[in-house]
Amino acid sequence: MVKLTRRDFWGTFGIGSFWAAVATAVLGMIKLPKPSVMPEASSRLKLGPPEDFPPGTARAYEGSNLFIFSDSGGIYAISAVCTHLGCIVSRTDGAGFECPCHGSRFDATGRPTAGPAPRGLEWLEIRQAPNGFLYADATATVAKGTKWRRG
Amino acid sequence: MPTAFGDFRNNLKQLPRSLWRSVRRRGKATSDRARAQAVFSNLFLHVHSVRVHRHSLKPGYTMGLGLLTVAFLAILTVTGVLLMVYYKPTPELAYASVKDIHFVVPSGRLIRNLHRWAAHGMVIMVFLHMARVFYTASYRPPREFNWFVGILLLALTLALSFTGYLLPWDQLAYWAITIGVNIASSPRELTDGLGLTPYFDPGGLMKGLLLGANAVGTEALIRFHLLHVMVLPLLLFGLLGVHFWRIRKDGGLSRPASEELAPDQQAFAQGSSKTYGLMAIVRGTSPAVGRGPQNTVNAWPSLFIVEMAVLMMGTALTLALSLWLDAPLKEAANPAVPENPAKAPWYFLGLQELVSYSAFMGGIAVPTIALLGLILIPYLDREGGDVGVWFSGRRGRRVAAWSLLFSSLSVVAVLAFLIRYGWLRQWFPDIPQLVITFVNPGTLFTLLFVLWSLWIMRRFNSTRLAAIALFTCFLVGYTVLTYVGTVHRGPNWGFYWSQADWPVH
Repeated sequence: MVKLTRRDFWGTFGIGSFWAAVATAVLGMIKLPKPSVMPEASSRLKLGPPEDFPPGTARAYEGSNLFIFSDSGGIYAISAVCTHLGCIVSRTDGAGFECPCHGSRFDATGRPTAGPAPRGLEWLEIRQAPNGFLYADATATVAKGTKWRRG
Repeated sequence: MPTAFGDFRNNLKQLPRSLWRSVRRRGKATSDRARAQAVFSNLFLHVHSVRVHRHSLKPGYTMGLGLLTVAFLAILTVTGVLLMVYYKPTPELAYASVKDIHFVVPSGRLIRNLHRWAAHGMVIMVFLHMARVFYTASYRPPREFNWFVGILLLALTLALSFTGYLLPWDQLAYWAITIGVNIASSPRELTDGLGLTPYFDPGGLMKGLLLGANAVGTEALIRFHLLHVMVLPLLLFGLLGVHFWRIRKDGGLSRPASEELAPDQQAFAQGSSKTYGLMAIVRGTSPAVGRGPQNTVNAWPSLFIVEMAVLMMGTALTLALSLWLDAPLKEAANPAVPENPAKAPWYFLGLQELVSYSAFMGGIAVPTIALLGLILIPYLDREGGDVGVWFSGRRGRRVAAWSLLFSSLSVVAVLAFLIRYGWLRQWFPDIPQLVITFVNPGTLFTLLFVLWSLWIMRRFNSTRLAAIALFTCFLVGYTVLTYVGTVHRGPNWGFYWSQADWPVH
């Protein structure tokens, strides 16, 4: 065991406190660029009354990056943001989706069928406001298969 | 009797001369000694040693590649500052300001073109410079750490290119930021697969730091602008200083041992013919003419002339390209519709091809492994005696040629298979993502290259030849991927023989 003299102890202590101060300062500096409040506008999108979406509806909302579909089971929203690297998918003729950036393909429920996408397309929450209008939120994800049921 | 007034009048008359003398300190450098002193005592010249080895001036050895990188960096710094006069880093104004620079600002188009071509030139030169240093085994001790610094400079150069092409806020910029930031957050591919994301989310942290928001917008543009014009250049110039400093401290440029003279004949060269001795004609050494004791020459003028020639060549090349070909500017950013295909600049298309197999493996894991592997080469291959010899001799040349053949054939074969038959997801739609993350063409290439290199190590019993094999494989593999990404990838990242076959829509 190395014998630590009093002088060495205080010397080590001084240098140690210097590095501790540097580390604390660096941590404080890293804290600054990490945002605590997200600055963007609300991602809620007003869709309209449920009657506007009879079964069989399929609508793309450009700019909000989501699709609204309607069938006998209800109305549901699927995100258009590719789960690979965030490009915007478009609908294919065969009722699926494909991504222009790296060739990911998804079936009609958003399940990946080809390409590098690691997950299926997100399903989004649809809510009815007290005035009867439907709203979708591009940041509120729900379990796959969640539909807004009529009546 | 001298009066103060007379002194004052005299000093005033002498002012131009005394001012100039105080700046230069010495008169005109008319002798070798004066020139050597000037190099030694001038802040800007003393980056050079006073005398340089003759071998360092051979054009076929360094090919001026490092110097050309510096030439392009100088052009980038000057034109970059000029572009900042008009550029406005907000999403509303950025695109219009770049358009103004291109079409309205006096000589703005030329300055922007110069900035763009010098950036491309710098990326190419950094890669070629690295290849030169590698193939001449110049990373050997005492230069291991400078190789390390060089790899960091390569990474910084690529980071500067990436942050640079985001700034015009056109379609390329917007979707490149989107893709880049999602690559940074792709560790989630791994943490999601393991169910760790709620507890440990490095991908989300990176995304938050880069975007400063949930989506690409004002905060992201300002952050990338800050990185491009301040943070990364400061780091680059700091490391560049270390890089230059270490060249000097590690004994100048590397050179083969055959260039070093034995101590007893330093000032003399072996005579090729007869020389006149004191009493008779004998064979022997003769004093070397025009060279110093260590086979060196004066930096001023021998090195400076070469440097100026290379710098002027770099500038002339950039200027010619800038007058001939304009830097592209696509339509303004449209967050609703990505370009199809959304292609990065050519030097990232190899990476984009890798990313199209798996975001995490292609965008983070494989590049990190490659950079770490490069950094570690000098510490894992510690054979000696081959510094400054291209490919370390004949066997190395053969290994490099075979590696070129092996890597190009294996990459083309795997790509052909992928394009013809697809990959795991097409055959087993419910396969867990973790399997694809770890088993995809990108990891397959890496595995093949490592196995090939290990086989070479066993076969030839040499770590240097194994390093040559691995380095060549990665260089060739990346080149093939870049070529495929540039020429043969079309809409939806599909394979097309040429752009003429792209579907019309």
